[in-house]
Amino acid sequence: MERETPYDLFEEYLQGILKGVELEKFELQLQEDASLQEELQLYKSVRTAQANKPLDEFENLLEIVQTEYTQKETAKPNIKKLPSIQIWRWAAVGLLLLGLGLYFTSSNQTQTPEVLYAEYAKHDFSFQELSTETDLIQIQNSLKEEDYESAISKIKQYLIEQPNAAEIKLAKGIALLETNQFEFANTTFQSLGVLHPLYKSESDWYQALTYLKQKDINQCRSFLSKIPNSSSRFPDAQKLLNALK
Amino acid sequence: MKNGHRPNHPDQKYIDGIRANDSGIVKEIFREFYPSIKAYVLKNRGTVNDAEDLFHESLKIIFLQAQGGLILEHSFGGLLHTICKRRWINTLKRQNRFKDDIENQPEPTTNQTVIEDMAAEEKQLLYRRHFKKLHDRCQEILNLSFEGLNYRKIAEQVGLNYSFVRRRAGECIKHLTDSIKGDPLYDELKDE
Repeated sequence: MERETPYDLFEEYLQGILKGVELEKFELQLQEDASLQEELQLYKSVRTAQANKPLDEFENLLEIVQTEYTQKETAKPNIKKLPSIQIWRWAAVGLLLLGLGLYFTSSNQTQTPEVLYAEYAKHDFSFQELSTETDLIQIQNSLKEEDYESAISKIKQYLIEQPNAAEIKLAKGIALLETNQFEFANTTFQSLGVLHPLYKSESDWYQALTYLKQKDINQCRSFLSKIPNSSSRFPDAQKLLNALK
Repeated sequence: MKNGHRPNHPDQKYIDGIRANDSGIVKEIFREFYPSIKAYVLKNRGTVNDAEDLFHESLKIIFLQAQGGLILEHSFGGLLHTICKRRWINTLKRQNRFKDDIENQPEPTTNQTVIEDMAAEEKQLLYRRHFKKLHDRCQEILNLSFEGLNYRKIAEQVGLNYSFVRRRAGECIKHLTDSIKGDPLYDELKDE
């Protein structure tokens, strides 16, 4: 079997696929090369650590309980500790702060859906690294230049030949979203999440952005809260959820 | 102590609840123990985020010990506080923020073996933290590869071409192992 990297050899060794002369040669190398031993040990440990699925579930549970706990703590009124005689003073201060808060909220435009969308809709078209195929480079260039209409038509052509290219389907959804074709964008993201479960979080994230752009905050929140903490989208999703409060 | 014949400590319910992913028990743990850990971290140069991280990571260590059959000999609170405080002091030292004025009360009596045997769990958590920092695509490809899928099947599942997946898997694992090796904690734990 042709090997791309030393890790392919590690994987074959750990899976017991490596046999005969190759196995002997590799084990001899391991005995003589301390750094190779360290690399193999690290690879094996990472693989084992990542296989602990119950720990994934426990991590999710911790995040959920932490969020609930923090929400309850934030909602707790704190006036019990104040001496009763001073309550009227604090009430006056409270009213003043409320007034100031309302003033700043009404004059502060940073949290509108439009601004939030602009802040969070940063697209990573990482498939540019995937290939030197000319048509992919052309799609990439159109997306980079934000010429989304042109990107959509090139993507449609590409998907006829490569109907399973999930990364390109995602790019299509984004281009549709950027050109305000919300219904088509949503359908694209939905089917991406269903047909390619590994893209589920990305699909939820972009459906959330689709609703954010349409100012449907409830739907946006609902998709954001589906993103598990095991996803690298989780921090963005939590940040956006907080910004939408 | 991981195995014993004495009757279980009443706080063993926390260990069993953690192992079983029991949300009721985990909520109780937050109510009972998080406020004092948070207060400790805030008093000793930390932020609320630091307190949350410390609390979660320490509970994960107990979860991993629970998976190995941990039996409590002393109170759960004592164990959790000792783990949190030791980890926080180590964090401050690693960040050169440790000073002698740090609150360092005597540790309660607790399962000493748990405290002394945390290196294996710390390593697992370190690897997982770095794995989570990888790009989503990298995580997906590597998780499937670790499950034993060959690159052709991974390529079908993730909707990318075969040669890309092969190359990308190598790049991802290289990036991951470099990132782990660059973490000062890796050197600390390497020989333990």
